[in-house]
Parts: sequence; C-alpha cells; structure tokens
Amino acid sequence: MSSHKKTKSAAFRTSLMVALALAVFTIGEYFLALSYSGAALLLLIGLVKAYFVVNFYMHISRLWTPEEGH
Amino acid sequence: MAALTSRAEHYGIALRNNRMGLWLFFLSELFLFGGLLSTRFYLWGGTRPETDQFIGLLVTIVLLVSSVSMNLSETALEHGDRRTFMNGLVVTAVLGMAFFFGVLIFEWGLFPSIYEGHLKPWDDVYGAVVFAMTGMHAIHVLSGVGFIAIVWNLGRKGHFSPEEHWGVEACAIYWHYVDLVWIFFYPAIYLIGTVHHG
Repeated sequence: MSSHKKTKSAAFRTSLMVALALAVFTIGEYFLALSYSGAALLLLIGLVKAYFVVNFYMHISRLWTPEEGH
Repeated sequence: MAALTSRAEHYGIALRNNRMGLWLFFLSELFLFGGLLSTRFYLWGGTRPETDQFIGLLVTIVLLVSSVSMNLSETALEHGDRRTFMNGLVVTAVLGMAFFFGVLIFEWGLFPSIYEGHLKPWDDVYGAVVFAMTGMHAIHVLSGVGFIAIVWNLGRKGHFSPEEHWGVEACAIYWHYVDLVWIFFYPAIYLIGTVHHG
C-alpha cells in the first residue's frame, strides 16, 4: 500500500463526486437530446463521462505507476 | 523477512502483468463494441428507432449507480472495511440484474404483459442493430454479475485483504468497463438522430 493513499472518507468523497459529475452529464445529454440530435456533441459528452470512469473508477493510471499497489 | 519481501515483490510483478493483461483484453473487446457502434452509424445514419426515452435514461441511471456501488465496495476493501465491501458487491449485483431485466422487459419486450416492445430483431435494421448492441452488452452484464458472485463468495470465506485483492480490482474494473460501453451505446441507441417512424 502506498504511503500517500487517501483516507477512506476522502476516497468515498471522490467516488461520490465522480458519480455526481456522471449523473449531471447523463441528465444533461438526455435534455440536450430533446432539442438536438447531432452525434458530435452527444459523443463528446460521452467522451467526458468515459474520462471520469476510466480515470477514477478503472484506475488506468495504475498501469504506469507500478509502485502503486491497490 | 526476506521471504516476505520476496513474496511482496512477486505479488507486485504479478499485479502489473495482470493489470496489463486485463487492459489488453479490454482493447480486444473494443473492436467488438466498436464494430457494433460503427454498424449503428452505418445502417441508421442520422436516424434512430422510436424508443422510450425515459426508460433509456432509467436503465442508464441504474447502471451508473451500480458503478458507484462497485467503486465504493472496492474502496472499502482497500481501507479494510469488509462489511461495506460485501454489501457493495450485493448492491452492485442487484442493480446489474435490474439493468439486465430492464433490457429484457423494456428493450426486448420479452414480457408483453408488463411492457409491449415494438422492436423485433428480424423486422428491420433498427430492430437488428438494437438487439445486437443490447444483446452483446447484456451478455457482459450477466458475466459481470457472475464475476461479482464469485468475488462475493470468496470474500465471504475470508479471501482478499487491503494489501492483496487483485480479484476484487479486476472484477471492479470489468464492471466499470461494462458501464463504459453503455456510456456510448446509450446515446447511440436512444439520443442521436431523428426518430424513424416505420
């Protein structure tokens, strides 16, 4: 375990903040699609959501920080 | 002491290889889901089938919340909180099954007494593509729930610790991958394009 590991409450807070961001973008794209049907903007929102999931939930950075355990 | 250090080093090396292997697996899966997404844009172009928007949003939120519970579960184990870890797995699996049955009932219309679905896989390109996309995704949801069940059973028997829990990490990452795919499938099926009235 790395020494700079977040405390449990801080880690939970990050998780919930990411969830909030994902919820805002999901509801945002739903309402956007009521008046806009283009692919570009909706896929762009998808990419932003994907960034949050890949970075915070899937921990992609652990691939190039080998010293970090779990 | 030396044996302990050696074991930790060995685990660290195995962990790095496992992570790389899992992400390479995701890369291979990207071709599968990318192919389905390309099929949608090639065959539908700027149109989409008439689907229930609210149900689309609802199942998406269910999957999103399941990703949060999975992350909380993994985070809890990393901090030695086994109770939240186990409960988080159960919540995730239940939400995963809710999503799965949501697909069967509302997208596929397999239970007309509950909800009358209007798309059929053999009708036209809309039905065929929706069933291919949601079907392939649903298989991954189902296998993810199976994965969670295995991890839950091992956790119940005392496996996994804050220091060594690759099985939990892999399960969590796999589940988030399922969510990641839906992040692009949801707008592709429900939001992008003008409605085609068949």
